[in-house]
Amino acid sequence: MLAPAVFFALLMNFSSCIEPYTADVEEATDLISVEGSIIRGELVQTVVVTRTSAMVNPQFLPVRDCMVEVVDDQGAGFLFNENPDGTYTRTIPDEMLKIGRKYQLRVTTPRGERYESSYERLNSGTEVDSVYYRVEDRIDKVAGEELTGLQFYVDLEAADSISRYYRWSLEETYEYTSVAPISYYYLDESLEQYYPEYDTEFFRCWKTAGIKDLFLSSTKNLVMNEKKMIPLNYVSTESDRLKIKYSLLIRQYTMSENAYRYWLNHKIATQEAGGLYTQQPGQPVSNIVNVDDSTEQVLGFFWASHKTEQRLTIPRINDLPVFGDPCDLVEFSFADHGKGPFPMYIWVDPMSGIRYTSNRFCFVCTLKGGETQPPDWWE
Amino acid sequence: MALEEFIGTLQRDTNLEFYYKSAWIDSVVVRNVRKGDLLEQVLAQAFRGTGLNFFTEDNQVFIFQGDPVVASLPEYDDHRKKAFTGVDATSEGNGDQYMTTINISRENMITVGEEHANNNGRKKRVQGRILNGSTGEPLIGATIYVKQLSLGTISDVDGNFFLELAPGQYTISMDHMAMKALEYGLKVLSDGSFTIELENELIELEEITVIDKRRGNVDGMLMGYERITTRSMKEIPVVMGEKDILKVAQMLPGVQNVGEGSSGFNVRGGSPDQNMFYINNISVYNTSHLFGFFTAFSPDIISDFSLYKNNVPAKYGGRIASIFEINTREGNKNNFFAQGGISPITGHVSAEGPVIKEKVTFVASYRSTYSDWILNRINDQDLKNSNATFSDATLGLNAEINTDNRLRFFYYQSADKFSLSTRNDYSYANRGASLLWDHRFNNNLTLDVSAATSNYGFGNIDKNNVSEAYEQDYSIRHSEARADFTWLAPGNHLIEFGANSVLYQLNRGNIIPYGPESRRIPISLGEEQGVENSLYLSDEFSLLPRLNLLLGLRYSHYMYLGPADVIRYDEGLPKNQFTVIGSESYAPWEKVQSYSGFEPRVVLNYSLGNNTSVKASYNRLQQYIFLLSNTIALAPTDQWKLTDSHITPPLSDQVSAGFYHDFQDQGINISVEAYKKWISNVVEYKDGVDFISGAPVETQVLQGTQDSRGIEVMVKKNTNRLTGWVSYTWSRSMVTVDGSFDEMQINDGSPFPSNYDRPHSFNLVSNYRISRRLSFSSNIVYTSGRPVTLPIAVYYSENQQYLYYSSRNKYRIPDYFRIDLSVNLEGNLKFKKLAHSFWMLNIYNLTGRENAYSVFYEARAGQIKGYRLSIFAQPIVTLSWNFKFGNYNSE
Repeated sequence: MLAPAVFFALLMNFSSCIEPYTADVEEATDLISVEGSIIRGELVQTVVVTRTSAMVNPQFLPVRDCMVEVVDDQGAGFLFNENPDGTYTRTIPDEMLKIGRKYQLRVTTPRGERYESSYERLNSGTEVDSVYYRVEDRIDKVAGEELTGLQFYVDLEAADSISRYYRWSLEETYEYTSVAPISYYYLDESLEQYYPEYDTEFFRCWKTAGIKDLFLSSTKNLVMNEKKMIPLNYVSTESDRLKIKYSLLIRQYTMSENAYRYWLNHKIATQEAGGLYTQQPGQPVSNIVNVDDSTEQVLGFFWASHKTEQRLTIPRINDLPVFGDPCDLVEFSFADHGKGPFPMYIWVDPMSGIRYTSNRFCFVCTLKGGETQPPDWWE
Repeated sequence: MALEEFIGTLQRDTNLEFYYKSAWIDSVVVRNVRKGDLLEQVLAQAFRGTGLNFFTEDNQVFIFQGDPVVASLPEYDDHRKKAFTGVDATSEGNGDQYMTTINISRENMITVGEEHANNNGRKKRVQGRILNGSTGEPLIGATIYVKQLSLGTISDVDGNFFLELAPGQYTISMDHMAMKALEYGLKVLSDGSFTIELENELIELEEITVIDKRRGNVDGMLMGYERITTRSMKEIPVVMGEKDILKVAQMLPGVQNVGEGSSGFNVRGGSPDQNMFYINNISVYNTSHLFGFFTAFSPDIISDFSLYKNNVPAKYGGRIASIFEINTREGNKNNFFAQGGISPITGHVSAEGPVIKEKVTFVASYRSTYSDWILNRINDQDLKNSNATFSDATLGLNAEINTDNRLRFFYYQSADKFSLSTRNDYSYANRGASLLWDHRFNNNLTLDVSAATSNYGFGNIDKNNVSEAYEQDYSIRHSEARADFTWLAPGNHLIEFGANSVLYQLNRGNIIPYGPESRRIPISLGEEQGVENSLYLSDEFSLLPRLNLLLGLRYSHYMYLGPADVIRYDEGLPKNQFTVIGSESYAPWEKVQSYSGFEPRVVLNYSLGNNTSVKASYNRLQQYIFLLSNTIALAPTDQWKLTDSHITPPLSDQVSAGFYHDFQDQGINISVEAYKKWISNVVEYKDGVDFISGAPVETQVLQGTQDSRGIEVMVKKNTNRLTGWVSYTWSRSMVTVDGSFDEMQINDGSPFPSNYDRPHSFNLVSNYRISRRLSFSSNIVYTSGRPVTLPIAVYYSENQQYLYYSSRNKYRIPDYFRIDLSVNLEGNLKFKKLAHSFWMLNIYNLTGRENAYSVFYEARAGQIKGYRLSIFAQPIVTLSWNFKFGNYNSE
């Protein structure tokens, strides 16, 4: 339930406020987290073994040199390989992952601690029914801003034999441009002019990124395994995303009730807080135990799933003004800009001949994380 | 110039002292006063045709009604001022009706009984009744003191008091907060009775007073008890101009809540469902409007409320933390009177007056929001589509059939509607009525009988997802009958005994699909009923000259009744779907389960001298109903549930000790109380349970124990220009749920602080009267932050951060601190003008401190950050206007 008090505060124009807060929490925790999955429909399977880090200094602390293995209830096993970043992966073709089989994750750390998950059944998935968006307004609770944008939704329609618990992960790709093409640039205080390799270098970019949010839903309260308008991500007009073309890849996973509860606990703790009408944060219940010491608190979850995908690509929407990232062009002057910061990029307006400059993030589109080549499937 | 103003000037500028009744001279004016005029001339001219007279003695000017006879002053000369003002028309006028037993002489002598009555040497029973002279209502809690014997008593709810006196002559004084004290000679000849009317204090505006009803701070047998009158809370600053008795209650020691604007509160470490609210014997199951921002009682008709945090009188039970008893005004017997007001949120009116003069009175009130204009101003589509309204209404009738019988009827309702954009529609309502009959058998035995019924229900339409949309309804009916006897037995035993019976009828409602596209599975949560019967007896008496004792015993018996389907689980195993071994069906009204128990009360009061005492007490309470609530604050969709075959009734044992002292001359009361409370079978909830899923409740709840302890220090000042109280409380409240299986534990079975465990709490409530028309009030509130479970570590998966949490409620949100200020300006104070109005300017959170309402963590683009939410982050200024038609003195 949305916190009515928060709502009421806004409603009465009470000048309520939300401010960043750092709790004075000093507690040493050094717990192990084992996260992994077997997903039919994904070629590369990943397992991550990490240690917790303090709130004040969050870090990815991989536990290296583990022996990581997934076995099924028929005795087949898949050994995982360690990657330089500390994750463990294994390529498993779909034919080797059978619907209805149960899988178990086994991890042995270099210190000899042995962790095992419960056996998780691989349930069949179902096609993504439909993905669509609506133009909606909303208030950013933290920033207090009113936003306009697109709210994406997914519909579910599955046979009753399919799982009642779903999770979606999203990946967005969008095309954007820098504020203006680079006419030339200065590298240092000598103010020597350099020219880009070609006129539109760093002007057009395509960016692909995963959306880091948990999208979960279940049909357990429904008569049929069907559900409409399950909210996915929200894209406001305050970013570059909707300027030219936006594409959303929806990966749909089925899962067990326990896995769903595990993720739901995480979601409640970090996405629906803020009022007094929320529940106490519950510790997500892991399905992984230390084989030799059942009292050890182990974090993480191992799950098995069947993935399906669908992509929705939308061109620029005509009636929707998109503001994009703020990028102002200012007229270049040696007095103001001669001392940098460098590199400094200049665009010469071909009509007036006036030279303009701006923040380099506004000129070099790759600085915002995009690439200058579109993905293969981009049209 | 008004005479009163003229007198005021003289009193200020000269050494003259005037004695008079405000009402007499209210409409009297003085004209053309010139320098050099004799005071006698001015007064004589002013009184022409008014029936008023005066005489002077030394520098004192006495104004009185009637013939210009100089009364012979009574022999107790020290008190002649008071004595003189006591000679008023009303006591003489009403004398006729008590002709046989009373005779108030010019010398202020009350004679009780007959001269030639048989004097067998035993003590005589004297019954007195004290009424408010301007409204005719009985005065509760007036103190009566017999000087010669240093003996005192206090008037009861009907204004009655009893004394046992040997024949002879005494001086008695009668005093009541807000009323003018009287002193009389009392001549006792034989058994008899008399009635006295006290007048409102001459120079008197609303003032902050906290007074103990029936029993004083030092002398009384109550501990953990507060009584607050509407009069006293008039000038306490409030948010948004709404007078609110429960917000005032939260300023008292031992009363906490989880956050401002949340409903429900916590008394001495108990959960909100451990408090019982009665308004004129009607039980009220939801006391808040708008999720708790306002209280569901219109302040206009409330006369006072009592809060029992400890030593709940034996006649009450059924809740283990506190009983809240709200009394409404009974209506003015002589005059019609109306009042009302507007604030930014609501408009309210109330009216009262005689239906049959001196016999039957009525009181009615209505309050409603008109706040939609605020919503419409907001430039957001979501909020524009929302709306919030509430209202409450009451009607009371009070019939004084004769001196021995009184009949009262009361109706109460409150309703809320709240729609949150297109997502949720909430509505909830209380409705109830009571009939009360007070009967007096004789001077020593009275009986109060009442029957009351109330219904609380809510509805909720959840439209967040079109496929999952549902409609939910819920209702609970509480019907209660009671008979309470009060017997003043020989030897000064105050004996109370009686019985009461409660029938609970719950319809936990249905979850049904809402809208054509909803695929929700319909669920019926079922109906349930139970009956709670109790008998009680208590005796208050003097064991030794300085040692008073109160012994009470309550026996309650509860039956959970069919129809019911009761699931049986494997003995000793956690109750869940895997341990079901069968089920049994019960027919309607068939007994499914019963619980019963004795609930003793003991209080000792040892006097250490005139104004000092120590007290100790023990008290046991049991409750048979609880609230399904796993959110931090009460939510409007929380359901009440009866204890049943699986969930056993929570039980509390409390011991306390206290020290009490009065500085009578300064009007200051000091109390220090320490308590410790053990609660068993307290209801807690498993993580993430959903009470509308249809899962059996016993699979969702866990029962544990709760330990609360605390020390409450309070200093009250009731008189003079500066009134109010200051209190400090240290308290803890820890819960332990340690079952034999992991899933029957919370926090790994270790004790954890309850959501409302706030160790330090400081309150200062003060009112300073500059003049009769202008006063300032201020609150200062400090409490420790409420406990919170915070993330203490981060781990990563799939490039996202996840949080690992501390043990439950290990940390606290920042401390809470607030200052409020209000300025109250009365219109002119002519007594008999038609209308009277006053303005109130309120500043809530004067310093604009950003108090944390909550602390939460939110993931944004995979990064988790902490935030602090403050609701009232700036001073909130409101101006409200109130009016009265008729007698402005009538509170």
